[in-house]
Amino acid sequence: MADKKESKKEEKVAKKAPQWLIDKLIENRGWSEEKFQKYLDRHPEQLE
Amino acid sequence: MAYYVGKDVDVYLSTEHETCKIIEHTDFKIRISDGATSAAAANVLAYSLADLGEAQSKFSDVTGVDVSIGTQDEDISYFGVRNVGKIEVKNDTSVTVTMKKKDRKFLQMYQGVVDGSGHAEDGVGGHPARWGLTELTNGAFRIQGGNIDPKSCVDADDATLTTYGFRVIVAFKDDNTGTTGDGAAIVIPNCTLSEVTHTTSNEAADEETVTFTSQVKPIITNGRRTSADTSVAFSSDSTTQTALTLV
Repeated sequence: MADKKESKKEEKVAKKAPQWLIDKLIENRGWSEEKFQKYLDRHPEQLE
Repeated sequence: MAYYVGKDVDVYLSTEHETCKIIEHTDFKIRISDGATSAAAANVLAYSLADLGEAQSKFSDVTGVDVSIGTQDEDISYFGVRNVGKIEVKNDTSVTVTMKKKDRKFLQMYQGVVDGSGHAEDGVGGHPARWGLTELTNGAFRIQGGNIDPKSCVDADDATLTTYGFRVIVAFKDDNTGTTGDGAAIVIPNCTLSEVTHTTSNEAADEETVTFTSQVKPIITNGRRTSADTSVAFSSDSTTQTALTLV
């Protein structure tokens, strides 16, 4: 049971924005987390 | 007018939106495509501002670059005052890039056809993509047909900024590290694609000449990048969209 939970958690963690995208939009363009999240909602395909 | 040899300068092109680019679809119609990229893609005609400065946004096989800078002044004279008031009305900048022709990218942008459904601002399409983008509501990007004035091409995310036209950067000298501030570049915002010509010859490689013109004040920068790396995008002083009050 615990293993199952863990694997589900891993799946969730794996679906995050790639570092190049974070660098590009948050670090470099100074986007807020909220704006970035809106962008990710439009682009689920860009999640890792 | 200043003429540069292609090997002396680097020229970059992007749309005037942070993440929306212009692509050619498999049916050869021009479409919008939102999303920043990490590498070059064959079907992209113009990348977004987030990619501006990266290798994919750079013109390749450039043989010559002409930069022409000018302003239109209004002369006002008063009785009793000897000097004439020279009031700047607008800038007039054009960049002409001559390069070896290897694809139909610029011909498509200049005389191609925008897909009407969901990609053209008027919903009809059929026009080329010389005038850049507009954003109707958040995320609803459209290619406009040149029938909207620049002040009405508004970024829905930030209603004080415009998405009109394209942005061209001519980099005369690269920044040494990316963040030293010792480079030199001219940023020409809100350009329209005003001319594309194509020369064929049976003895030499085909060449094409692309001209961008803008009436918005150009920005002279030190070519800084967003981080200490000369292959990443230009910093925000070169890639921030133009305020509506300035177009």
